[in-house]
Amino acid sequence: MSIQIQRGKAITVDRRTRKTPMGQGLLRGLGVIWKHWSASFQKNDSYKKIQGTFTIEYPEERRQLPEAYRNMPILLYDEQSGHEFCTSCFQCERICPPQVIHMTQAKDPATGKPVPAVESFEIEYDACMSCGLCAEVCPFEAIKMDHTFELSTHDHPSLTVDKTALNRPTTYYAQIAPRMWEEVKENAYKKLAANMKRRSDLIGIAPQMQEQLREQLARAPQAEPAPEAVASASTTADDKAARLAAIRAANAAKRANSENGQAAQGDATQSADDKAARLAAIRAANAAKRAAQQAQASEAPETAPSESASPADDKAARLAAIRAANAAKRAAQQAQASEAPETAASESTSPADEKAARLAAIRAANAAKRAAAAAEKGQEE
Amino acid sequence: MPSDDAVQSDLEQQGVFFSTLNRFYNWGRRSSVWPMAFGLACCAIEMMATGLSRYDLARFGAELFRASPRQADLMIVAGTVTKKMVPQVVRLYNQMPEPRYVISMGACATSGGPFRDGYNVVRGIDLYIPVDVYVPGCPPRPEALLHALMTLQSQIDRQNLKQVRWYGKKARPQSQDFPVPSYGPHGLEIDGKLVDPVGSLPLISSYSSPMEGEQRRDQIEHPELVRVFPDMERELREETSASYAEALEGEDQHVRR
Amino acid sequence: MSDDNSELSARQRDEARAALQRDLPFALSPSGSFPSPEGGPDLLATSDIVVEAQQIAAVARYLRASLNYIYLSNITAVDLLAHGCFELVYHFYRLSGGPALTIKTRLPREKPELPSLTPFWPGAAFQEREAYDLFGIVFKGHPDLRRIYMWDEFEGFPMRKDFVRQGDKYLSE
Repeated sequence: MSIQIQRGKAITVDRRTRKTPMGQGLLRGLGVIWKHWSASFQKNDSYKKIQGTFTIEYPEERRQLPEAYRNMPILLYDEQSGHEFCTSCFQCERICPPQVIHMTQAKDPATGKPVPAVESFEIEYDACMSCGLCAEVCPFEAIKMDHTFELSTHDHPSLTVDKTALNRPTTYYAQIAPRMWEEVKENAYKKLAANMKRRSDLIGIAPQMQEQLREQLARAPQAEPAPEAVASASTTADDKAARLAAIRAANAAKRANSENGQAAQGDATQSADDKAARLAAIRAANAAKRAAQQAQASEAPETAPSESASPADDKAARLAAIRAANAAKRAAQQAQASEAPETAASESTSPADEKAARLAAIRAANAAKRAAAAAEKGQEE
Repeated sequence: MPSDDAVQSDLEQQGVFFSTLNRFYNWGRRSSVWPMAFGLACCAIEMMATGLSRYDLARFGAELFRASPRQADLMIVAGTVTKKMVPQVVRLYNQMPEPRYVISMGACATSGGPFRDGYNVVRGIDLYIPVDVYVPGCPPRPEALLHALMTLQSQIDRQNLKQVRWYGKKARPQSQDFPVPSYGPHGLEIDGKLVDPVGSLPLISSYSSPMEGEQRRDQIEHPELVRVFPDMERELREETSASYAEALEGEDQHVRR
Repeated sequence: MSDDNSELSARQRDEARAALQRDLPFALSPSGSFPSPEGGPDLLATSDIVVEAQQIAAVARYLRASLNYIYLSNITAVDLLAHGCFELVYHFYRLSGGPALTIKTRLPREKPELPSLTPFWPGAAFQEREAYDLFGIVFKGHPDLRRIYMWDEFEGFPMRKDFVRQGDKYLSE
């Protein structure tokens, strides 16, 4: 508090401080020093205080970094499916100002066409300037900025990191930047689902999960169809199989019919017709079997969220399946019976055999058609 | 503190007295590393921040930044090193007495950073002086620089008195001077041979830290023995070497003074 | 830029152009045309004042004396390889405020020489040295025209578009 008093040409400023006639100023100064020094043993955690140490004693204490803090980029992959989000669209490589991102696109080994997955991905950490433009521009939420900054090393080449070292599960990113991940999670998974369909085999699987998924793939064909499989989906598959068998049988029958007049036609074709008919019958039998299994499985209480809800549908489907199975069995038996007098390379086929084969084929076709129709009806209902 | 297996091997080989002496010697050295602050650009600001109260370098014994290289243990190259500055960096490093260490702080000192394709920035000072610790970042956080100092301290802990260069007998070379590049018409030169052309990739490979790898002698290597850059750069390099060959033909197209 | 600013700069430009037309008419007719190659964009199209390169000293002195542009802020060069010329850009300010007045001149790439402003405007010294160092533009009359970024022994002008470079692979050649 100071008060200014004008006295002639002079202005007296009265600071209302205690007067120190005997030189107590020294003591007062020492008091200030003591106060600051003793306060320095306490931690200062507030911006309002001016005394105390506000040193953050790294490495024991660390500063909490904000979610949007960017240090070095990392790639994300989904732990559940093992798939990486990156599709090598090259947007991050294009936009990177110091051009430290290098990647190559994965190609389907069978067709040679590019697949939305990345084969090799490298970032030169030693020249990265942490701008975060790659994370901003990525349309698939694949590349994100990490918070780890303790990257000092004596080994310069190890600062060029590749995909294996860059990959992190989405749980990791959800942990360091939860709100940011919440905003983009759904979109990212939707796009990933679309891309997963175009990736065959083990393309696009994070190297961390390759072994795991390779085992899964190896086990898959022998496994029973999963009980959670939706009934309608399986009926469509069997639908297709049944229809295919029907078409094949019909073709075989047609061929047999048309070649009836051409006795000069090679018997090989007729035995081929037999074979085709038998094959069609076997296929129809398999389809019917599978349909029956599905129908039985879908009865099980495990399929709580099954889509074919009404029991009437199930019954109809089962009935059709059983009919198809019976017909197919009969066709197969007849085919086998007709086959018995034939040798492997037989050329003499009696017209009775032909007829039997054709009949079997037609029966199989009908059964399959009926099963298909019933399944379709069941779906419509 | 040194790692347990280092201690173990020390004990096995040299006996308790020497290993204790070694530990004490290294402890003294690593707890009082005095940097010569070589702050060139933005990383210098982070280095200053590391030295101030919030992220205190004094807790590590390293708050005494020496202005003179003759009194410094550690050179923290903080910032972009232009080709014009390189001879000065090497001269200062030569003036440092052993044991001496280098921390290359930031993207620019490690590899040229965002400016590595430019005409005047050297692609990492490890082309000219051996670097012990690289800190990536642009700029690295003060904590990252502290972590680098801790990495350096663990390197110091592992040094063995019997094998260090400044006490070594045998085949280990004594303190050597690194060649100071000179300014040439097309880039930096060492002994008249072009080592770092302006506008192209360097023609020498980098040193690695004396602790961790072999010292490179000051030979100019064949241009093909260059550090491998990713494929993109290989294409550009082939392009530029063609036009560079033309430029070196000796065209006199400018007026000087 | 806000609308006010662009209006103001347009007004300043017109005022300066009128003054130059009145007092230094020979300066406003640049000789030498630099046509753009077929199909390419015309990078020389500008609304700023373009003066004859050899008259730049006269123009600068006039602007400082008569129009009160006493602060020369910037001298830059642009290499227009497709047009075969260098374009030099001068920015002048008044200390009373307002946007910059931009004066441009053009020089042929084969012989980039023009008078220096440094003898009567010492602030131009470093800027002209930079233009010389990076582009090779010779300022006649400069008391100390030597390189400022590159070392003196260096040959070549790095910012020219035909200087050999390690560049961005997405820029077209």
